[in-house]
Amino acid sequence: MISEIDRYAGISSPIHRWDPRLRLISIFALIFSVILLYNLQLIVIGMIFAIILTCISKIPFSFVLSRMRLVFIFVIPFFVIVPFTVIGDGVEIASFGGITLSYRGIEYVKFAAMIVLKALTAVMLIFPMVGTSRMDITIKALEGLHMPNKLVQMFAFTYRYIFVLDDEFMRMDRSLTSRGFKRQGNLYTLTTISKAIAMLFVKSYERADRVFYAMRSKGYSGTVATLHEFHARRQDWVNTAVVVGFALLLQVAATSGTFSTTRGFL
Amino acid sequence: MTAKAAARGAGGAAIRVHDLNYTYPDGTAALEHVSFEIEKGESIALVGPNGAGKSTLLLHLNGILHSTRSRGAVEILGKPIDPKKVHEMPKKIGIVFQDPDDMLFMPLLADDVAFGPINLGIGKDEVKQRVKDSLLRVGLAGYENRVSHHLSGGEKKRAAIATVLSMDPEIIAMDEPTANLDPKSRAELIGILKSLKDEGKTLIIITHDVNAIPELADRVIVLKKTVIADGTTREVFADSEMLVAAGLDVPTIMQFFEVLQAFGYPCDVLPLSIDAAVKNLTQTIENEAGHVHLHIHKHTHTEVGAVRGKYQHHHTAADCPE
Repeated sequence: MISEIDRYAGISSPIHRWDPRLRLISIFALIFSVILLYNLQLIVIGMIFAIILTCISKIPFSFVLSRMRLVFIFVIPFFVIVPFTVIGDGVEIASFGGITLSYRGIEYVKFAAMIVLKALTAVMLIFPMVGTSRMDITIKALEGLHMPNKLVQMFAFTYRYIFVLDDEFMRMDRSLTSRGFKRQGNLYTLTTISKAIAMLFVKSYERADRVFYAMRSKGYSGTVATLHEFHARRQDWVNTAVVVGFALLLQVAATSGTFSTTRGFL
Repeated sequence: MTAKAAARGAGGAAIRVHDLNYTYPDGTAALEHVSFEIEKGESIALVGPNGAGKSTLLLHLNGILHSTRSRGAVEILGKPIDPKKVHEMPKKIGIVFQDPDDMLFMPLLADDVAFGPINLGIGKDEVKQRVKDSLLRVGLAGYENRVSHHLSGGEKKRAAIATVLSMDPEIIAMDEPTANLDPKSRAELIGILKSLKDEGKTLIIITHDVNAIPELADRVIVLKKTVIADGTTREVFADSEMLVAAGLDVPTIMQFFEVLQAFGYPCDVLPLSIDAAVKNLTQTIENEAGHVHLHIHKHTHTEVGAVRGKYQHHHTAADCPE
């Protein structure tokens, strides 16, 4: 079962009360600011700020960490990959089959750490950004921000039907199991699962057809509008000023020359 | 046809289908020479075996499915459908699909119910009012902020109807509204359909639920690629041979009274619903001075067997005892 990122949308915190439109924009700006940094100290400061925001949002850290585990598994190999892929001169330590390890490469472990920390910070910020209001409200906020309507529709439909598809796959899985199918590490398991996934594609395609018919029957002619009302109050703007201000500050610090930068692979 | 003639007095034709043909992309014929007419305010049950083209026919009624062969074949409220103006059709005809998950595609139920009216260009306050009214009418008052994929099957079916009611169309077509529901949900749904009928909406209801038809429909159209029967509910149910050949049934209560006839129960007009049966029994007992006289004589078993055989779909010699 796909569990929902907006599971803790119902609790109350200053982040939850923040106008979703301003919240989306502000934290999005912060994510970009952190990703554009090339200084480890500044990235750590950014990460601490992200942790503070997540704390304020009252989303349990266990929930955030369990979600970040997958990202962690994905980025951790950089610690191994980066030292071996540094091009340029340096004292070689070892060389085998065209892959060289140099002292310069070892220095670049710092660069790998930056990649990992930036990724983790960005993912962590997603939680206060979209985890603090229900997904439907987030989608309406995107609409309120005049995001291209086609993209809003894609978001909305993805969110609506991912659960239907998940249910559909689960039904297929149960029907396989109830007829004696057992997942094993053999070709038969692989072909069976891939056939089930292929069926899921066919079913989704047909469902998309039917949903489109239903939309047409309700007068759809290209754009989707919903009823939504957002009001930005003073506190919302204060929050925005703090977060966007911090994002700008990071960039100002990065360009001021006080902090050294390490750009990759040069 | 008598039903048509009787209804024609009520007003102009709501739906006129003339020689509609449709072939699926894979070459299978789905509809062949389908022709019928539905008057304003009529309530029609569209029955037919699985794969008879009922749902396909429904999708032709607002122009979603169309082909060169179907051009000009369907007229709604006196005007032929223009396939380029399908998005204007919901003002006239609303379609409730079989699977509510296909109809509830927005994040919140209120968004789904508001979807149609917003597309029709209705003002914000009016849309809000319509959302509220439509949900109230299907018994889902206060469900505005519910997430559709968390609703129960019966609630989803009713919600799908609300998304069409909010557009206030003159004609409502529904694809198996009572299928897959528990008895309570089914009863609630039949109540909603009845109230729509009483309001004077033109209804087309695809259904396999023969026991619900007498309550909901004045007229039955039997479809099996083409219209094989069209008449009042009673006329169509009287033709058991045609129904059984098409793989269909008559209401259980009607079969039961036919069996009673074999036992000597005096009954000229077979009741189609429980209500009619109660009325019929009361009248018969009053006419016969407080009694109903049933008996068994030497032909009774043969007659009962004949009645039962009539409605048997796979009858063998063993099913018809001599």
